[in-house]
Amino acid sequence: MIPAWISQIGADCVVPLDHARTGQTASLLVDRDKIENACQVLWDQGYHIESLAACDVLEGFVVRYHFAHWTEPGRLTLRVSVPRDDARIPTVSRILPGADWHERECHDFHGVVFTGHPNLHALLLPDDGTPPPLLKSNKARKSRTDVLPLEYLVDCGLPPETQASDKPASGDAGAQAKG
Amino acid sequence: MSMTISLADPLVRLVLALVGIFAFVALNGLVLVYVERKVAGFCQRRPGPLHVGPQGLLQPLVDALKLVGKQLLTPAKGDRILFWAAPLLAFLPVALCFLPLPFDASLKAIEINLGLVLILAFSGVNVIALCLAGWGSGNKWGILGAARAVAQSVAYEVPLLLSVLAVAFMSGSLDLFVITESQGAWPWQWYAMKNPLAFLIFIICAVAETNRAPFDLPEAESELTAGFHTEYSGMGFGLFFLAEYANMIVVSGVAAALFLGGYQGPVASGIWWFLAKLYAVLLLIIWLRWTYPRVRFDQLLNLSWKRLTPVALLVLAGTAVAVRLGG
Amino acid sequence: MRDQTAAAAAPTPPVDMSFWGDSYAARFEPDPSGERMIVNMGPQHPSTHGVLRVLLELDGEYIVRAEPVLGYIHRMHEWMAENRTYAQFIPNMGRVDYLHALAWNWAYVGAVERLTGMEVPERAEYIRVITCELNRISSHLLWWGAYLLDLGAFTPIMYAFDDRERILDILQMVTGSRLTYSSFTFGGVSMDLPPQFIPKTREFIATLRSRLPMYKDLVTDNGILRGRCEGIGILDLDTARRYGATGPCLRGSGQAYDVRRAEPYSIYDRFEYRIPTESACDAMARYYVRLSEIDESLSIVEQAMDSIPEGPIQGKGPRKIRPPKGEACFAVEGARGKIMVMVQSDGGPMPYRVKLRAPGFSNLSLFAELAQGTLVSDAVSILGSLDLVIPEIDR
Repeated sequence: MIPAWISQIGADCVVPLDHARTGQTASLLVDRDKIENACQVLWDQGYHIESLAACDVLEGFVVRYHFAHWTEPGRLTLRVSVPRDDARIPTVSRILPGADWHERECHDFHGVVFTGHPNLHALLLPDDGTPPPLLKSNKARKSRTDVLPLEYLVDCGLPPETQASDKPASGDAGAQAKG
Repeated sequence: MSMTISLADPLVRLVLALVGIFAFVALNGLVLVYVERKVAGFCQRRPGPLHVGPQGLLQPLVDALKLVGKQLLTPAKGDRILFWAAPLLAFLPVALCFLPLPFDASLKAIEINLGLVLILAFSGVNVIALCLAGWGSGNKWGILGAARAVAQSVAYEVPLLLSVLAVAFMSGSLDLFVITESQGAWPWQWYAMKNPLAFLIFIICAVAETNRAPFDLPEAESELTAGFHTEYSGMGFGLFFLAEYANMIVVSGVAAALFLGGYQGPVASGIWWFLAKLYAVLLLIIWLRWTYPRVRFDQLLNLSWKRLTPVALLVLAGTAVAVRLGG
Repeated sequence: MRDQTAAAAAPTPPVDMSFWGDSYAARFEPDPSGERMIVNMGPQHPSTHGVLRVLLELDGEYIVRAEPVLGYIHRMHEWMAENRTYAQFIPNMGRVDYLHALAWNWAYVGAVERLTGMEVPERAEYIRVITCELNRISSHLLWWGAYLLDLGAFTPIMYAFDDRERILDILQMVTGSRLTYSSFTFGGVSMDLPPQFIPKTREFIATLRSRLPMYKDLVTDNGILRGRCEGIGILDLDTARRYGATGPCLRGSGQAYDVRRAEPYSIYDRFEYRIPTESACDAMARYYVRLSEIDESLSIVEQAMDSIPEGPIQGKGPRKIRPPKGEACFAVEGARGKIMVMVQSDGGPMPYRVKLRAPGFSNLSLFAELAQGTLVSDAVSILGSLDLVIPEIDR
């Protein structure tokens, strides 16, 4: 059940999910330029940020923003995909100060850069230039179609075939990262 | 002038008294450590010290030995001289405060008719020691603790003095012996009963002056780590510790003499009555510590300046009127 | 070596490490007038409960700025999750939040069950509810004692530990451990209730019920305590939502948000219980909420023990779990707020990504705002009232 105001977010696609199976009510694929707007809309609708988690996949990073509401059940998940060689997302910490630390943590763990963040320094890890620990090795890294059920992507007009062509390029980036 | 050493010689009496006082303070320090820990245990439904000696009686000795055996460290950023002068300065003046205490009718160290003033004067030195300790440590928590100590001491000396003055009005003397004698042996003849408000103010101020919980702000463990004695190890800390207990004994002794009839009792007046009353007040102070949370700094100052001081002034005025009319 | 592309794009200014202290202190520049003092509260400070460090800029005793510095007990549980099989990661869950370990157990186990579509037998659900609620009581009791210790009262923690010790004895019977429980399994629990469990728990409930009024008389109604808590650390609902605060912190601000009701899981819908809220928004409100929650949890445990059915404690399922591709989130109400675990699977024997959402992380992030302009003593009171467990925040 997707509320009508969701269209204001400007998501590339909105996929309703079965809460009993996934713990989420909807998954929204959002372009990174629209993430600030998306968070503003969700804030206006009474949502609060639960967590923010990146995931390292062949195509780059998928950053998830989980939102929940005090009175309405369910959980909305915003997904932002960014390529590995340009892993930047505008910060939402101005709208949601609670995202501040989550973004710093994500920067620690995956090296995703949140542009415009007021204080994007190491939060949990030492500030000594070691590579982000949650980057996968080339061998372990999977395509995002392998770790997300197709329903999250296919409805958005992103058939798995288009992803395959990225593989060599991102593989190189990954090699650099691990080097 | 003969060279014979006589007990009548004031100097000899003074030296003997000082030796006796140091022994008394050290002994009482040990006893108080044990009592405090046992009372804490009682409040907290646990046995307290139990294993060193019978019923843990030797625990304070072992604690003292441990403190003596510890390395003395001077903080690199501290002021060496002030840092080590502070614990001595904390302890020595307290010892002098024992001189005019009326332990018994004939047991007096010095003949002085301004005993009360002497005690108040020397107990005021304590705060300088805390201030130096905090400053000399070169530690920010220490400085915060020192600043608190000064403000607190200044704030609570005022109502303390006022409440003591009320007693001086009633007895017409500043000599602790005269004050004691002017009360009777029975509780209803004590100034605590005749002027309960002054007694209450005195007890509150005494707890605050000795930096005991709930007014232990200068050392507030959970806020300032340990306040002014954060950087002290071994006997540096030990001396502060001893000074705190000595201070407690002094204020309890003063309370016993001023308000509780001192060494006089319904039967067999003597030093035991004085010690019993002294320890009763001590137990009250210890009990308070293990029962109450700590007040906040502004609440502490407000209590003194906005409540205790005006009330103490009124009590003083009332006492003066009553003494004038009654006398 | 850092990922070069990311490092090049990072706006991190060059850090002048020649400044005394470390990079955090270096960034925390003092006021140029020199009137203010920068103080480290922690990582070894009696009231930061473990290894939290808060950088404070003080003007006298007033806090101009406060910034928590995390990471002193960071263990990278999320990395460990990616390098263990699903079952091997369960013991980690006992160590994230050592005070309410069973809620973390439940969140992780629940997420995996959701992903694989496993059924949990009735009896196992009841056992989970009973143990998790007992664990919540023990967590609140410990908080209660430790908070009063922060406020300078030494004695209550001894009473709290006394009661908590009984809970640990009871939980030991059914989980096998006293602190770092990891007794939930995928599709059930590892041990059934021993026969003496229910009588002992009933005895404990009676004891605790008889002691709670004493705690109220001796501690809660104490004037000094009220002076230290009332009106301190006002957390309005708007701030709470901006920071994503949950748990008693949020309920102390008047919002009856409890995951057990808002996003029902397991069999909580079968029990009657209240969600305690307070409208004062201050530290005392959070205090009241936690104490009332002890009452409510006792009632839930009693109801569950009254209606627990017989049956198996372990659902059917493969021993080696290989969940299908996909991801699942599972949220539970922990003692400190909403615990959420997201598990993402690539179909292999090990999770592809696990995200642990710790309530304390969000709750602590609002501390800087609450502490601004207060006294150091108030900051200690506020920090305590947020009920922080640092291992959970640092993960």
